[in-house]
Amino acid sequence: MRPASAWLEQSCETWGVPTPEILRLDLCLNEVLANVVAHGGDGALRCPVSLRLEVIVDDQTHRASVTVQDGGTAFDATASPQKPRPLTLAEAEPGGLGLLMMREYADELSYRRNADQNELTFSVVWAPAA
Amino acid sequence: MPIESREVSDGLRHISITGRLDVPGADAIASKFATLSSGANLRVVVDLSGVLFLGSSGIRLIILNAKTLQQQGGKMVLLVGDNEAIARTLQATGVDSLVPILADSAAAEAAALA
Repeated sequence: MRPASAWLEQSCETWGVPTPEILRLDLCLNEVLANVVAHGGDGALRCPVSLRLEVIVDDQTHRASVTVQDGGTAFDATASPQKPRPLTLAEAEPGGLGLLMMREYADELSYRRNADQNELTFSVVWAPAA
Repeated sequence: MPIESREVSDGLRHISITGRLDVPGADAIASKFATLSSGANLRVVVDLSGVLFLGSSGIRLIILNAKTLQQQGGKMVLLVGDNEAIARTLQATGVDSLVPILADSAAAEAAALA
């Protein structure tokens, strides 16, 4: 997972993605990969996980998107209902935070099942420098 | 070491965690964090000000160990210093309503003993 994060950081810097946006993408990537490992089963671990970064910077749009493709069991991380926040420590369950973090840090989040692959895409959008 | 501890006084422990608390980072400290969080009536300040990255697996460890301490009559408090990125993550995930979060070391120790 650390190599994936290093690749993301270097690639984003090459393409001019600002540091706060790189951090947001890195946080989401960590959560997506954690889910692949936790929910993907043997299928996920047998095939390589592919990562694709797309950066669009023009007059109107500043967006960086990462698509994570894995061969694991069909799992749509975006479809899980958001659990209500626990009120006390005694009630808190330590799970379910990954999706919460993805929704907090990504500006856009989408999933599709493509043949026997999961494809999860998350994007960050930022304002052009004045 | 990404996790270190020192005894401040009887029953008050200071744990410092540094580096990346991503999936491998959380795995690396899980066992020691659990050991340092077990004991009756133990008050613990967990210093996260040196944490560069806090993912859900790190947050999970914090919540689990805070619960363990509480169940044994103790308490956990988080110290974030001026690490705004970590403070933001803790607020976004609602941890701040479960475990006290303070920026100042002396205030954190006082809160742990309260």
